[in-house]
Amino acid sequence: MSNTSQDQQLLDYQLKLGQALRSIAAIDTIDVAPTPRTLIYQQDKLRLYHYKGKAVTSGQPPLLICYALVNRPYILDLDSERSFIAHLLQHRSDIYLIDWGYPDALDYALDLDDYINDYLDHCVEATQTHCDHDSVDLLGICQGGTLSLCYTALHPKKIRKLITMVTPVDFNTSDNLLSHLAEKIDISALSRAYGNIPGQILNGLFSSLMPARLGIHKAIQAPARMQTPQQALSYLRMERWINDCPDQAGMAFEQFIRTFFQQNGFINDCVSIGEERACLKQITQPLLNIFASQDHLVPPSASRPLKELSGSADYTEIEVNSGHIGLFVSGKVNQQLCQQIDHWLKS
Amino acid sequence: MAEELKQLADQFLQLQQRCWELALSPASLPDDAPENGSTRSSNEYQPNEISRTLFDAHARLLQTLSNSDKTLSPETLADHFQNITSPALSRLLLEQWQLPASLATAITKEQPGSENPSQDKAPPDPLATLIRGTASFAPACNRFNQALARYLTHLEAINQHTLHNLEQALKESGQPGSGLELESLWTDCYEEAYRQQVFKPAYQKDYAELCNSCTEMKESFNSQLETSLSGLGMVSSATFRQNLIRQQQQKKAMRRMQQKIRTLQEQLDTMSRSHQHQLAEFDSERSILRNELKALRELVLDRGTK
Repeated sequence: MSNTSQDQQLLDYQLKLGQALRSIAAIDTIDVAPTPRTLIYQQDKLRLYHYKGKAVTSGQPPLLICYALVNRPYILDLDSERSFIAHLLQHRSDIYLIDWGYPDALDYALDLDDYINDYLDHCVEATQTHCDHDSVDLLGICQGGTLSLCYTALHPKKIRKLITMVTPVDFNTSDNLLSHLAEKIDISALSRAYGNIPGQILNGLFSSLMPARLGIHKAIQAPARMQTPQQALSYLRMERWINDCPDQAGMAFEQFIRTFFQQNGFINDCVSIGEERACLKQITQPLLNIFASQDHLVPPSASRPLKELSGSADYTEIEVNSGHIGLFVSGKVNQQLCQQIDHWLKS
Repeated sequence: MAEELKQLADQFLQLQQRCWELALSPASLPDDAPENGSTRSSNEYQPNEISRTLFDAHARLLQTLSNSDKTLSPETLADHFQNITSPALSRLLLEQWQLPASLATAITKEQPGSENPSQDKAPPDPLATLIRGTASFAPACNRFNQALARYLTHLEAINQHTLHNLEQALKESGQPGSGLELESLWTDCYEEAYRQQVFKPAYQKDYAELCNSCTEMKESFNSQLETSLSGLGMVSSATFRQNLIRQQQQKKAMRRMQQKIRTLQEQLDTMSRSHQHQLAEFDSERSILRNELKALRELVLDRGTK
């Protein structure tokens, strides 16, 4: 590269930077979750929201979405153009979403039994009551999918159909970097030292899966992605979500890491929730398993074993050409996916 | 050129800072009212300084290059990356693992690769000096430094491997059209080298040891703090957590009892329904028998009359 060329590049970059600064100058707050919703149930930090769609699905059970504990569920409704919830509402009349909230010091002693047999169970009951239906269809996402699998195994009569999205089942596949990194962490010491596990530690762990791409590269590319206020807002919504990692209730987190990441509970059939064993063979409901081919957090190899491990005779899987988050924030991808989900639920 | 770069760096950091402020400002979620305890305060967030540190270091290198006729050799680049990675990693670790400021100062003074000139000019932190001198804390601090040194050798290998990949890529695809393209290529090469390294058992072991040593330091610091606080008659966090566990166990026991009550109520309802059904059958049979008896009496009376 000649000096003139370098000067020109520098000038171009500086212009883009200036434009990006102008784009964000008018932004005061970053609004997310634009789809109207109603709070129908709350218990401690947990909230259950109802979304009302225009579609007529008479006789169909409501769809309850169980999101992960480690991130915030508004990724499903980041903005109106690429909202997974809004796209689902084009097909469904009633959607319910669990927001686990932000655990604080008082929630340290919550364990998976509390999350599954108390909170999740109450959400299922609240959904049934609100919709006046005997059973619900459950959609679990990522870690929320793992919780949903446990719940369905323990409370089979309450769930008609189960959908898992980017859900790890085999936590010990060779390409699962997160699992390799978590395997030797002294989780008891971590819980002792911090009580609740700071979201910042988890965020650091997620970023360490692709440090250059998610660090300096993203920062350098940022001005080009913020050339208009709309682009800037869209970029910042995503940034907000990425950095919004709630702290994790200490005992529940310890149990989750030990049971799934370190003991590979589903594969070794050693998952105990409360006083009962949760075995995937107990799941006989129709099962739709969705995973993303370019998922760096939950590789397809971690999700696929559900087919062999579950007791369902009606198993369907969909592999989407996307990343872990792209599944929910790419308008094009989630529009098509919502159609497939609705089709499967009605079938 | 140096002035332009400085201006560029300033603008870049200004953009980053504003992005952080916006992204981490109190939530603009429509339903998350603070009184319900579900919104976080922006004070809990501290901007991640890692990209700022890295950018500063790169800008310094570029400034040096633009002021002289030097060209970059792979060795210079490797040294440069290692030199900026080490302190950046230290800062990242301390921030990520939320180690108290005094503790952080105590560690960074002894860290390998710690080359922050501003720290040397800073006045000595008495608490940090005290921590360094505390015998019970020293083993945790030493283990952290050893773990960090081992971890840095992996980063060195990644940096070397990245440069090797970059050289190969440049040979194959030729000179990139722009600095941004070169940076993208470097990112690809780095991620490839990183992926190869992190899947090695040795890396995973050293990574876990680094994380565990951070935890150990935090635990060690907490332990000293708790001893001091309990000496003042204050409740320790360990006691607080034990109480929370007991309270949660009581809640669970209550939940199980409520579940039992619900089950018993259901059984009672079933029995009651069954009992009512039996009563109804009995009533029906009794009324049939009464009718038959009445008919028989009438028959007897009728025959007696005749």
